[in-house]
Amino acid sequence: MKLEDDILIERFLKDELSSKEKTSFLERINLDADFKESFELEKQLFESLDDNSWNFIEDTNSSEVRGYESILRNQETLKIKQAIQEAQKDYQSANKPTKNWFLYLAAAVVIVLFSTLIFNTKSATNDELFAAYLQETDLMSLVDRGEYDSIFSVAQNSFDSQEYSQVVNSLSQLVDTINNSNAFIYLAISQIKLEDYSNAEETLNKLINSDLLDSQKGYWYKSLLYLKSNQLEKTKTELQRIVDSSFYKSSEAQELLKEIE
Amino acid sequence: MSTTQRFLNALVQGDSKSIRVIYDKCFPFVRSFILKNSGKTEDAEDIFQKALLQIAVRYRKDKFEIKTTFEAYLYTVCKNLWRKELNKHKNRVTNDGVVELVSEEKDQAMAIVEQKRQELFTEKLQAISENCRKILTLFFAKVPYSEIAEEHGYSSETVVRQRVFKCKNKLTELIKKDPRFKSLTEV
Repeated sequence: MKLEDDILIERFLKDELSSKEKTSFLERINLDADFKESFELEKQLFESLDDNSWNFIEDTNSSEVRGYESILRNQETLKIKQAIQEAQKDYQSANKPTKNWFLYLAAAVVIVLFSTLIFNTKSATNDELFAAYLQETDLMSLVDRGEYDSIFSVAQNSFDSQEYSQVVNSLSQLVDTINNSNAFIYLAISQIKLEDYSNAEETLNKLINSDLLDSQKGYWYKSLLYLKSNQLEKTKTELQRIVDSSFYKSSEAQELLKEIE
Repeated sequence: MSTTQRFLNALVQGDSKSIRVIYDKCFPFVRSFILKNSGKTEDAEDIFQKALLQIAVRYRKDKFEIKTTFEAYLYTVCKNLWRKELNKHKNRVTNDGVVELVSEEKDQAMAIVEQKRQELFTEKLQAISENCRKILTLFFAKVPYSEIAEEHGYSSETVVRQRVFKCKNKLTELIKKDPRFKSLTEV
């Protein structure tokens, strides 16, 4: 394709042509098959590679579409659909009682706070909040096909069986070279569980300063680290940062901020 | 067996217990994305179900390879289904103002083909040089030529335009060479 045609197509897609130019553009599309092909591919690229738009297919009866449609209609697929719906129902009902449990926890926190005021003793509130907010089900699986799978698999097994020093052994030497956000998170949580707070902080700072896509998750785990180690001012600062920047877990951060204030 | 394979098998076999594990691991991320992008929890549930069904149906037809983790792939499919949902209204209006009613199955079949096309394009974008990828990413994100020139050290807008043209040609050349091209783009 010539540069002039490319510019013309681009101007059409950006809606920059005058009505006269537009008419002759559409006429050319009807007459010139090569130009039409270039235009269609360019339009597909334009809409697909821009996150704010979506490229819809035009031929809803192509053999490709019909092929999937017939699979979608068969019995086997209906069974899969039902299984997905069952899993969703199960997930929803398992997550509802959690809310009630949060209410009980909040009540428990109030009682503990009262007794703290009256007897001036140190409470275990922060530990409880840490346990409630560190939802390990949120963690992505560490293991998948890849270069470091065997190490990840050992680390995942150790983590699942709560052998946190084994996780630290497996991951701490490698975490810098692996450059995987899950590895940083698993390592930091294990360090927190072992009450090795300074190393946990260092691990999370590495995650935050990395160029990984989900580096912002580091702030959430850092706020939990400060909570667990009873550094409330720092906890509040991190939570506020998450809320202000709408980072990962911002609504939970807001909720937790209210609880500790 | 890898986690990805385990989850794919769970979907194809309709094993609701293992699918529940996928919900535990992935749904909170998808929900958080959709809530941040003008959606509600119910939208997230609907999109998540559709994405799981999409992956199962595709895998039943042709055993395709997931090159990232299952979690990351599922997240991308959900994001794309939500992009499609948000743009549906716009698309209907531009197509002669006529709202074409399609069955749920047809809509999902179309979403699969669109997802496959999206994957073809993003895969080829990853295959060109880093410099080309960067400039095209900015171009497709509709960053003005003047801004690209200024921020990325090009001497003028014309130079940027020529570079975009060359890079786009490389990208389209790769796309056209791919065996999937015809069935995915002529629809």
